[in-house]
Amino acid sequence: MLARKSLTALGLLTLFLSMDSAAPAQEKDKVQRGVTSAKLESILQDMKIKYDKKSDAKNEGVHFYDFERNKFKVRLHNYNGRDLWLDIHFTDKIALEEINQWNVRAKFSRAVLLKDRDKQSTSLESQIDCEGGVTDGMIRQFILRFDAETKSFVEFITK
Amino acid sequence: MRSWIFCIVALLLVAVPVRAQDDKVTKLFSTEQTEGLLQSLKIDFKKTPAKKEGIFYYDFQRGGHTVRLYWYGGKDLMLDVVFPKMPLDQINTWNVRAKFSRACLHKDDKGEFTALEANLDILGGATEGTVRQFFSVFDEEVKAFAKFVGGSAADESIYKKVAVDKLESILKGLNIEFKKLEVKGAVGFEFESNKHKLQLFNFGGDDLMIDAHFKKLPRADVNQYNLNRKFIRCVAYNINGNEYTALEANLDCLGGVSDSIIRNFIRAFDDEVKEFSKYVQGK
Repeated sequence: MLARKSLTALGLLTLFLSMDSAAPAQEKDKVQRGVTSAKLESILQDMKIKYDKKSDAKNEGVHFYDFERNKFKVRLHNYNGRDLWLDIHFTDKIALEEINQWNVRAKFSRAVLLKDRDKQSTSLESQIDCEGGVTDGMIRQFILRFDAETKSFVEFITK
Repeated sequence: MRSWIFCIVALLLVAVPVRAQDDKVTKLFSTEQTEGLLQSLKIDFKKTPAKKEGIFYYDFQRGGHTVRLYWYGGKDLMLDVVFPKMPLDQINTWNVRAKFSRACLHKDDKGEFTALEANLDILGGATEGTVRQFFSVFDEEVKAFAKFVGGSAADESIYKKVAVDKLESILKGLNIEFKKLEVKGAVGFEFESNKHKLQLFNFGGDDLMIDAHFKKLPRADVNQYNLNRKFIRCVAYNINGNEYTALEANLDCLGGVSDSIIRNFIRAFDDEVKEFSKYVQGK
């Protein structure tokens, strides 16, 4: 289990060590116990991510940011600044066994089978807990890392 | 016994300046007195009436924290500061050692959170000096609690590589007795928490992974759990015929993390294990 996860991660880590250094020049980062919408939006803008913002009418403080990354439609959820959630929905038919196989090798994401009546889709997702402490760098890395997870997941399901 | 002696000494220390100021003893602390005191402390507050008559809230910033003062008809006062959700055993540890505050786990419609609270009974007789001291002591309690929770967020040092000895010191700080594991590509730590064996792996300082193993569950149940929870991944394994379910969480450190973030990552997983245990038992 661990060996497989290590191997998958090794390549991604090498890639992301360089991507991380490509992040915009930062002021001294600090630990925050939550992330405001303004902060999140400024990070997205720094990363040159053009987003479409929607707010959850039923739940105050819940906002969604839709944007494209490498031709995939990504949604970033901000739950009252307490946690962030990234996901991409795939309509490809993926068996539960295969979804679990992804989860066996994944480190920074998980795949979940969604069933809505007779429709089936797969969510590739990742969450970050901000209440326990988060830095701007962590949020940037969270988004960059998810790009790599997506790329790797697509390779996995189209192999 | 020792804490009683401390309390007596602390009370004497409080009493001396009060006597020196020749403060008037009052059994009701009016809103005018409260607001006057806040102004004299240069506290810029926002006053809100509670739904219940005779209760007011005063919200203000103090030492980088949002503090709320509850005014209960002038008969008693309460101060609180909200912190992120903490495990109950950690809250209890604070309450064992604290003298002038208590920590509680609360729940509202947005989820669970920890509150650090202190109360002052006015009815028995108090002076403005007593209330002033109540504020001053609470400031100290908040500072100490923030440190206890995981350092002051503003001045915590952030690092992008988690050294093995750093992780060991964090585990020791959490009073976790661990056994070091030899694993290919990672440094592992095995320890027990809530009667579960947990394993924490450090992958070259770049990322951490924590997991716990449970009995085999059907794939549909594994998927259902992932559907309902955040921050974890539930996975079905079959390693050479040994079938089990693992609950896993990862922390990507490359963006920059701190001691308190790592502590929270480890402690929060305890709660996840407890939740998942209930789920497994019901299957």
